[in-house]
Amino acid sequence: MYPVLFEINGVPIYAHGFFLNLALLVCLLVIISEGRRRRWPKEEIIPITLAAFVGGMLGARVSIVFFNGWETAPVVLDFYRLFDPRIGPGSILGGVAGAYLAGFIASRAIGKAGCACDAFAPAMALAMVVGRIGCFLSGEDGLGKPTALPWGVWNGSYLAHPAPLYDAAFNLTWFGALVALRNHPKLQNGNLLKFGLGGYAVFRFFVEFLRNNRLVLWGLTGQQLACVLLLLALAVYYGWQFSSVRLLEKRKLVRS
Amino acid sequence: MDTHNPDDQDRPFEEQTPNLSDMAPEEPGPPPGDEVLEASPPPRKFKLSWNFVAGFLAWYLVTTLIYLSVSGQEILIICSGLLFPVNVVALVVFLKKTPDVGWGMLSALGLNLLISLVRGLSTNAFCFIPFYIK
Repeated sequence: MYPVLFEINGVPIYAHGFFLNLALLVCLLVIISEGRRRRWPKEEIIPITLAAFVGGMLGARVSIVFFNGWETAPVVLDFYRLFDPRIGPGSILGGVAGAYLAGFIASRAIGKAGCACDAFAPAMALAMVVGRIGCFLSGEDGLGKPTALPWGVWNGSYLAHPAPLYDAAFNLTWFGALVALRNHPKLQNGNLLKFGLGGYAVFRFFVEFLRNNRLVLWGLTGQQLACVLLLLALAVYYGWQFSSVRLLEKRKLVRS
Repeated sequence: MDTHNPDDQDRPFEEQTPNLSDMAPEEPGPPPGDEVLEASPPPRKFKLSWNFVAGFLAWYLVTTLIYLSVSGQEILIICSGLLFPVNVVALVVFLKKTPDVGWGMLSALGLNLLISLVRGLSTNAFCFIPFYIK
């Protein structure tokens, strides 16, 4: 583990904070690049990105109550401690949910028609690749469960699954897939982001079995339950969309 | 006026075919796939205004005053807990009613979060550190 990356004038720069900042910067750069490619005006991108950033930070922190129990509430829900860097940023799943919700509210507030969120799908995947390197170097949560596999990493107590690196590897592959699919006609108007989130939720559900997160219900971690809820929500949304389209087609058929 | 064929009476509604002879002739519509969607208004332009500056400064002023007035007292815990939902609700309401003030408040909150992120570079904090803070 390398929790301290380097020092500047005797001030240590920690791996987790460094890669978190770098991840957000990478995310912003990909959003700007995608925004230009999709010819979205900056009058839309700036407020939606700002709202997504704030919503993401709030969501990441608040979701800790769900994932780690009510006893964390006095710290996590304390508004002034939101700006205390010692507490840590929180959960990426909560961050994604918060960013999505805030981005949606912002896009409605500026009166944008349609969804601007597809640019966020590859950006979030690449940001997670970078962010997970920080999680790995800082040895977060003991990295993972014990393993005898040859790539097990010594976490100070036992050889552990390098779960953050699994996450990074998946997200790098997923980033490539999302970039390859970003022009697909059926993956526009918010569908690319939903597809990206759905894919990550499936992966995250399974990788959680190798992590040390707290079990909440039915032998599942809070993160796994969140993934299941997300996948159910996507299934309901697409089921409703599919039935609406079929009904519309039937009506057209009747008219013609 | 019955617009359905008498032969369709035993079929479910979705499968019935209309009796075209009884229906008024329809206006010729655009070819399939060429339907014109209803035009939506252009998005409101985001620009710096006095309202934006007022929202930005007001957020700092209000949160600082609350903190100073209750700092060191037990009521701080209650206030801090309440400020979370109050901020979220206030942001949504202001973004809807007076968007420039809302954007100012959101920018102030975003700037503070950004500062905390940069300060986090020299802090050994993980994602779930609340466990370790007593």
